[in-house]
Amino acid sequence: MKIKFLSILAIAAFLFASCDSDDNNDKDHGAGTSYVVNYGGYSSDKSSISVYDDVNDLLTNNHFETVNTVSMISNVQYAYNYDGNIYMMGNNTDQVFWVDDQTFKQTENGITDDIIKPRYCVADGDYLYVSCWGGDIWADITLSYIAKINLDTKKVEKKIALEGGPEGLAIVDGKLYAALNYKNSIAVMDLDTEVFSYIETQAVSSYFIKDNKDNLYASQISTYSSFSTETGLAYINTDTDEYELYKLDGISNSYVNIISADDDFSKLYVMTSAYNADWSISGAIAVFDTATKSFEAENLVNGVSGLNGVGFNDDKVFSFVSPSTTANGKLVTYSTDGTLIKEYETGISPLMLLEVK
Amino acid sequence: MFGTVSYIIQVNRPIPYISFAIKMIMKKILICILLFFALSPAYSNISCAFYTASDSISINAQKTNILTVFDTIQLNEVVSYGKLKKYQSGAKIEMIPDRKFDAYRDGSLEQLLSRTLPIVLKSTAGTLSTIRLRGTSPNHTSVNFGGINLNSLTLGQSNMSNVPMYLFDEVGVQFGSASTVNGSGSIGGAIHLGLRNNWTKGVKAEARISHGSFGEELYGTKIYLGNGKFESVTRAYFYKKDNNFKFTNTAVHDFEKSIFQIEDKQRNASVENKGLIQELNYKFSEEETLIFNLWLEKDWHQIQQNMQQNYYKPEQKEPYEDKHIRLWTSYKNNKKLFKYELSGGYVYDIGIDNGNTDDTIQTQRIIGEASVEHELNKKISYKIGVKASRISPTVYTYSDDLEYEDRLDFYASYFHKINRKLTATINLRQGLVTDFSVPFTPTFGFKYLVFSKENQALNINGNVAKSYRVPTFNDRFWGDQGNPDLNPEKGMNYELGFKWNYSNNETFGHIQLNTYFLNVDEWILWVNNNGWEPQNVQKVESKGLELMTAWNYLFFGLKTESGFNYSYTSTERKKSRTISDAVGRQLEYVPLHSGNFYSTINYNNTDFSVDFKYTDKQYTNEEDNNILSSYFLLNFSVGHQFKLNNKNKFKIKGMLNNILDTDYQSTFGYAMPGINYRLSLTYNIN
Repeated sequence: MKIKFLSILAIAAFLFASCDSDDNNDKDHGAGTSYVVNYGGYSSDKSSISVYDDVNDLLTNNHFETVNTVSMISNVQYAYNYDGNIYMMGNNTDQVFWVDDQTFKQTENGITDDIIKPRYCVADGDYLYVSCWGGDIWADITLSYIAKINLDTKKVEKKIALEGGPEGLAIVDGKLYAALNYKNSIAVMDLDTEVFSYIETQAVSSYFIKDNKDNLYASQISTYSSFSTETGLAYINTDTDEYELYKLDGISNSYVNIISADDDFSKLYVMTSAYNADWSISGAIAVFDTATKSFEAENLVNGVSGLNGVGFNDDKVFSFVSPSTTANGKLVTYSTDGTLIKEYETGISPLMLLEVK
Repeated sequence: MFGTVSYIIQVNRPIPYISFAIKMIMKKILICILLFFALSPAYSNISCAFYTASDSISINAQKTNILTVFDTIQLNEVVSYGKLKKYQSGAKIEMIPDRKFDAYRDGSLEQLLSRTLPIVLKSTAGTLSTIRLRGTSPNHTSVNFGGINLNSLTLGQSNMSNVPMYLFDEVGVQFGSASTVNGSGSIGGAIHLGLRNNWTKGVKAEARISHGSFGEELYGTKIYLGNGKFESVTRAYFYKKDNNFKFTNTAVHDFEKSIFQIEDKQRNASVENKGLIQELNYKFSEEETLIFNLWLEKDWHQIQQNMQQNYYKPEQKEPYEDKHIRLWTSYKNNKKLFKYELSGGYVYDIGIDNGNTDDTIQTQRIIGEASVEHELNKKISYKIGVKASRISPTVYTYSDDLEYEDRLDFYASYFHKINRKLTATINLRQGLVTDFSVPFTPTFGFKYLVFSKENQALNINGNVAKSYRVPTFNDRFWGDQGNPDLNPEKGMNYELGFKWNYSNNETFGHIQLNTYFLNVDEWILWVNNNGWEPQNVQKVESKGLELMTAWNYLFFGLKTESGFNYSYTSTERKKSRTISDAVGRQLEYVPLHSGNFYSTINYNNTDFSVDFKYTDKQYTNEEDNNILSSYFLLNFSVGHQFKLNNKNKFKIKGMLNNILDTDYQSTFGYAMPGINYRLSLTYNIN
């Protein structure tokens, strides 16, 4: 009896239930689309692409797989639309690969030779300039370079050494600006001579955004290896290469799309951090007025845990939320007064919005 | 027994409250002891030897020897490391039998555990392997060598591929929470690496050479010198593996030729490990011993690249090197009523990533421990102790202000053989850590002999244990992301087990069934909060069943040993502070079902063995994609021992692994080897 009783007890100790629900999100999407790049996880899940249909207000995940029947094999750090293609900077596997910007079909193999830890790109004529870290940049800042890709031959034509960990790039008037993530300066390369000059900065930089007069705003950030209190947005007059800093404490040092402009470039939305009511720090979106050259007193939104990128589209501010690298993230849209409009489930670690025009 | 209290004191800080704290803790422990005494049934007059007592109660007087063998931890000349079972009567502690242990001496702890016990590990091809004991994370299982927890203080876990079995004599695994005995981190369980004191008279020696597929080589030697009182044991090994196995690479995307799968070869995943253990032991008398163990280990491997990187970046090499110095010494005196043990240790760990010696990741520990055991009578004993350690990290991202951290653990254990059938134990532990609050961890366990007949016996054991884990140094101090305000992870473990032993003239064996419920709260994960930082994120519950059975019998007149292990592990994330679709779903890298079977037939000093292992499908992320398929691995081995004369033995063994050439993954995106072999020769003198 005793044994029976104890056996029943033991069995009763496990009331386990497990139910899985398959959630298949494959849906058609219409025209007028933008893409959300989901980074994935570095060592396991690779990137995926979500497609945002602003006409039907839908977000559809796994677009690359749907079109190409296979999943991506890289973590996409940045995507760039140029001359009919979308170029993607893939890490682990390191490659620059591209799809047709209308069909999203990949028909050619990516470039892997001479591409090590690609970060960002910008094109000029027949060339695509890709910032590459070249290896463990945190251990050796001399490893980094700019890969100059000939878009006709689809080969790296030249590796232009540039120490300091170039991240964001911009081209203005025959000059390539490179935001250096491991040096307090912005590199400026003459595209004809490929000779660098430098603009000294008070903090390291991560990304640029170009205004409608071809001047640049550069994020000035504090990192563990390059601490600085002089953070915020730097304005660079590209005629004179003069530098002016508009301070913002807590500006994000994440390697995601941290700045986005509205359609008429009157406002910049900047990923930052702020204290919550309970005095814990979490993500926020600050607003920079380009006319007054100042940050608005109130952030657009506060308390966004896991904020992982900002964008602007269709008169809405897009924020990407990703607290972990093993679970799907969210796209959350806000009106320009900060009212939450809608949330959409994305792939893992959404980090940027790419409009294809 | 009573637990341990840990305490960490910053050196240059006046700590007038310590003595008060200690007094309070000791008071708490004493009250618990007194309460237990008061609540216990009157002390019975039945006298029995206390350890393994209920195990060793005779099924049949004539078969006492057999029974003590198949139901115990071997306490004879025990490993320096503790009477694991005596003060944990309700815990499930398994020692891997010698014959099985010997089969995996050429490999790592990963191979031994995954093929002999119901334990799942997440592995790459011999370069990195982490344990998931009862669904918990790798830093929830401590790996112990003497009083040293091998787990990295910066990362919190051990690489099971880097623990060489050749250096050890035995391995014990405690399933379920063991923080009261092992301190921080033993939420899912604990592994004990053991060395046996042989008290050699004269000289004994062993040489071993092993070669296998993919450039695998092991060279090992053991030399025993002694006069019965003094003993020197030297164990050394060198292991290497090129790991250049072939596999089907499904991560190749040739869009121009529409090829998405090719036959590929693993590159740049080689391993080269070497180690030495030097024992110097002295036996003053049977009751008074001194041991000294020094373990030097240098492990080097190339971090295995995932399939796509392996194909597209064949030149990519990422070497990683670990160096360790582990010293443990212990003086034991059992001559008097109060038996005592004084121990001390030193640990030096350094990791070098990709040859970068500038970014130092190094820790040093000095450990001291003292315990006293007192047998009130044959039925009752207790033990109290204190363990202190000072940890000095030198990590390039930590603040210079962090010179060291002190930890102090007070523990007490109580053993009571209440009557002939029932044994109960209590363990209490209080840890104190510099600037960190550690929970009080009590454990209560019992073992009950339900019946004992002529040739069979049934025991029941139960255990309720609290456990905890102090966040790693990286969690608390890494750059500006570390969070010193993290809470410790806390666990509760409830265990109920049955063990039926059977023996007749030709057959003996056991069937063991354990059920458990384990929860871990405040589980720490690194999450993105405008930059990555550790937070107490989730609560996880694990409940399961483990069936273990092993039988020795005659099969067509041949001595045969067979065993079967099955594990049902239902581990679910119950709460998460981050967005997750996987709340209420099976946790990542924890198969719901897993099991293994083995059988060995002996004929004229020749062993023929077959074993297989099944692992259920596994989630790899919080979404329903990238799920690892279930897999089944079949292995075969044959070994023969030649006795050249009374003093010289020669053993040859061949293993064929993954005979079915199963294409599988243990870590998503990483290739594993197909069919492979290993051939070993061992020569023993004396």
